[in-house]
Amino acid sequence: MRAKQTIRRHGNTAIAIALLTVLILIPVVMVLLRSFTVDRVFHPLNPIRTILEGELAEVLFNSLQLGITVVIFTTVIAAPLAYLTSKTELARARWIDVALLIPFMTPPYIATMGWILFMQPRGVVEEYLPFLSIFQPLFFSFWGVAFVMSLNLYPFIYLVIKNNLIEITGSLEDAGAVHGGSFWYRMRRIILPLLLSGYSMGALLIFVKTLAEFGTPATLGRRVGFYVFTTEIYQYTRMFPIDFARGTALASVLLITCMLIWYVQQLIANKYKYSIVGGRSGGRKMYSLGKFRFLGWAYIGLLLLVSIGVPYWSIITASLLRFWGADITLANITFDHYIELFTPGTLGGSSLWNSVYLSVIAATIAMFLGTFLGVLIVRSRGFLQRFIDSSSLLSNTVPRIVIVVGLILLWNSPWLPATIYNTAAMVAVAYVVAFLPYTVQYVKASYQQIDISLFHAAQVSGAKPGYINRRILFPLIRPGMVSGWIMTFIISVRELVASMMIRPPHIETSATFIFRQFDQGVIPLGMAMAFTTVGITVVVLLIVQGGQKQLGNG
Amino acid sequence: MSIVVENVEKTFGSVRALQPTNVTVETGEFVTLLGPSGCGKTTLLRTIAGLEVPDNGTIKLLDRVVFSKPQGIEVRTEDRGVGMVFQDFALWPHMTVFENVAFGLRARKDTAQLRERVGWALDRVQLGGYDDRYPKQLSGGQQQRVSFARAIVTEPKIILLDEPLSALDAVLREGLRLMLRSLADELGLTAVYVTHDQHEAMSISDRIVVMREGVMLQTGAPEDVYNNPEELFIAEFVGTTNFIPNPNGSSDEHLMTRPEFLTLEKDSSEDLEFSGTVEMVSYVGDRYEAQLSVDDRHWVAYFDQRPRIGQELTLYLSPRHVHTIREEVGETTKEGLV
Repeated sequence: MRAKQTIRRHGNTAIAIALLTVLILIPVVMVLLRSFTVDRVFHPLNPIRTILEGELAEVLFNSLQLGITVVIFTTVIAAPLAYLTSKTELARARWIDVALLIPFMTPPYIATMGWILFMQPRGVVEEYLPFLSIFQPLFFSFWGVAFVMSLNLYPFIYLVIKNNLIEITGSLEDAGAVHGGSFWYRMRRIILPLLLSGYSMGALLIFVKTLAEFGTPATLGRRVGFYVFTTEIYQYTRMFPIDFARGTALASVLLITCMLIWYVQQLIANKYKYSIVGGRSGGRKMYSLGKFRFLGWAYIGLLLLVSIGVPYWSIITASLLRFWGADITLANITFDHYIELFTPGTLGGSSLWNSVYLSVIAATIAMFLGTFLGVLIVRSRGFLQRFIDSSSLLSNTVPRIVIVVGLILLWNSPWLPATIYNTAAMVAVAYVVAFLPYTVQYVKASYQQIDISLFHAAQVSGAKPGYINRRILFPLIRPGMVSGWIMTFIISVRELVASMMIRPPHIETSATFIFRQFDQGVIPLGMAMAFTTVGITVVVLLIVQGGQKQLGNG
Repeated sequence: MSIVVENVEKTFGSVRALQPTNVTVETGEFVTLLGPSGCGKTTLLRTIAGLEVPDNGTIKLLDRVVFSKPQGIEVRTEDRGVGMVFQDFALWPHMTVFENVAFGLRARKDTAQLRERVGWALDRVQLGGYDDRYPKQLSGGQQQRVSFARAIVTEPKIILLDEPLSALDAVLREGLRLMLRSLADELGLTAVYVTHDQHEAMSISDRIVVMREGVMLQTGAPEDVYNNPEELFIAEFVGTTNFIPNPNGSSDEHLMTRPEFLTLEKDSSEDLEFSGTVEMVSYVGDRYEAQLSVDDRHWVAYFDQRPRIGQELTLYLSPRHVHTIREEVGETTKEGLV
C-alpha cells in the first residue's frame, strides 16, 4: 500500500513539474534567451547594449525615478494614517480599513482615468473648482503619474506599518518609559527599529509594483510623454513596427531588477526580523489626541476624498452623461450607456461578456490547479518541493507584462504544430498563469494551519487516506480554494495588460474596451463600463463571502 | 498480554529517540510512561499507534503482530484498532461534536445504530446533549472529553493517551484524571498514558515506566518507584529528595530519604540525627514546607507549625527510611545536585 502511495506521489510531482515548466518557466526563459541572444550570439550584456543603442536609457531612468518617488509619497501618506489608526483613539474607527480597500481594489487605469477627467481642460476642476487649476500643469507631468500611483498603492504600506505597530505591545513601550525614555526617544530607539524590517519589505514591494505597473503609465504617462519599462515593452511587442529585440531587452532588465529587489527584500527580512516575544498580547500603548482630534479626522477625510471621492465622482458622473462635455443637468443625465453594456450584440455587451466568461473559466482552472500544487507543496519535501513552490509562485515576482511577453514568444512560435494563440483560450491561459499564485498561497496557508494531529486522529480512528482527504483535508482547505477563486476572478475580469497584449484582434474584454473608448474620447460609455467592472467585483465578493459564512457555520 | 513491545528502536536523523526498548502491558492494566521532554515516551506511544515507524523491533497488540522488522510486517495506523487521545485534543473544527465522535464509526463503515453508540460515548464523558455544538463552542475540558468519547466510541481494547491533560488548567486536570481512570476501569481498557507530570503518573497508574534519553530506567508500581528509586535521576525526578552524607565515604553509593520521614521527635534510639538551619518556609495549606541547610546540603522537611528562619533544628530519621542508590560503573554521577 505504501509503495502504491509513493508511486502516486511521484506521478503527481512529475505532472506538477511538467505543467509549471510549460506554463511558466519556458515563457520566462524564452524572454531571457531572446534578449541575451543577438544575431545568434549569446552575450550577458546584450540587453543593456540593445537598450543603450536604442536610446532607451531614459526609459530605465524614468522607471527608477518613478519607483523611488512613489515609495516616498506612499510612506509620507501612509505613516501618519497608520499611527492615527493604531496608536490613538481613532483606532476605534475600524471602518477606515474597510474604506481603504476601495482605492486598493480599484484598477489603477480606472482611477487614473477618473483623475484625468477631474484635472483635464474643461474637466471638473476648471468648471467647479477653478482655484485648483494652478495644479493642472503639475498634474499633467511626471508628478501627476507618481501622485496617482501613490494614491493607489498607499493602503498597502499603510497596512504593513499599522500591523507592525499593533504588534509592538504596550509593555515594550512602557518599559522604555519606566526606564526614562521620552516619547521621541522611545520612537527612535524602540518603535522605529522594530518597524524597520516590515517597512522595508513593504517599501521594496511598492517599488517593484510601481516598476511593473502598466495601467497608470499607459493612461496618464503616455499622454504627458513619460515613458517607462511597461509602456515601452507594450509599444515594441504590440504596436507597429514590432521590435522584439528591444521589447525583450526591456523585459529582461525589468525582470532581473525585480528579482534582485525580491532577493534583497528576503535578506533584509531575515536579518532584521524580530519576533516580538510574549505569547500573551498585552494591550497597545495608546495616546490621546485630545483637542487635536479634529486634525486627525481632517487628515483621514482629505485622504479618502482624494483617493476615493475624486476618481469615483468623476467616473460616475461621466458615465451618466448623455453628451460628453455638456453641463451636468437633469436633462443631460441618462442610464443609456449602462443599458447598452447589458445589451447583447453591442460591442460593449460582448466585451463585458467575454471578460466575465473568460474570468470564470480562468478562476476555475486556477482553483483546481492551484489546489493541486498547494497540497503537493505542503506534502512534499526537499529540492522538488522548493522547485514546485517557487515556480508556482513565480508570477508573483515576475512582472505580469514579462510573463505575457513570454507567453506570446512561446505560444506564437513558428515551430508549434498547432497553437491556441490568437484564440480566446489564450487569454484565459494568460489569466491562469498570471494569477495562479493566489490560489497556491491561500491553499498552502490553510493547509499549513491544519495541525498534523487532526490527520493522526483520523488515522487512529480507522480512516483510509482517501477518506481523510474527503472528510478532513478538503473541508478545511475549502476557504483557501474559494478565496483563490474569488481573487482570480475579480482580478481577471478587469485585467488590462494581459488582455491588451494577448487578445486576438476580434476579441475585446472590458478592460481593453474601457481603454479604447477613453483613448478615442468616447468617455461616458467607457466610464459606464469602468464602473460596471468595479461593481461586478464587489457583487461577486459579497455573494461569495456571504455563502462562505453560511458554509462556515453550517 | 495486551501490548508487547520488543526491541523497538527509533532514530530521528542523528538523534537516538528510542534505544532498543521492551515493554509489556497486561490486559486491563493502566501503565504510564513518565519522563522529561525528549525522553522518548511520546515516540514509544506513537510507534504503538503506528504514527511512527520504528527502525527495528516487534510490536504485538492483542497477540497480533502489527509491526515486525524481521518479518517485514507493518499494519497501518487505521487498521490497528486502538483509541487515542491527543495532547492538543485534535478535534476537527469543521465537524460537530456528534460528527467528531461518529468519525471512527463512519470511517470503518460500521454505522449500525450510529446515533445510539455516539450517544453512549458522549454519556460516558457526561456530554450528552452537546451533539450539535462545534469544538470552538466548548471549553478546553469539554473538548478533551469529546476526544475521549471519540477514542472509546469504537470500543477499542487499547487506549493510548498522549499527555491528554497537559493543555488544561490545574483544577480541570484533577477532575478529568479521575474520570479517565474510572472510565478505563469501567470499560476494561488497557491504557498507555504519557506524561511528564510525576503527580499525575503516581495518582493514575497501576505501573510507571520512567524514561530518560530514549532509555527505560525503571518500571514498577508508583509506591515502588517513589520509595525505591533505582537511579539518582529517578530519585530527583519523582518526588522531593534529601541526600544524606555517606558514612562510608564511598562516592558511588548515594543515600537519600523523603521529606515526610523527617521528624522533630526521636522515636527510637536507632534514629539518625541531623542538625539543620531553616532557610526558607512556605505554607502550602495543610503543612509548612521548610528549606533547610544540613551540612551544606539543601533539604526539605514538613512541619505542622511555622519554624523561624534561621532557627537551628534537630531532625530525626528512622534508618529504615534511608534508601541507597548504587551508581553503576560508567553512569554519570550528579554530584552537583547533592
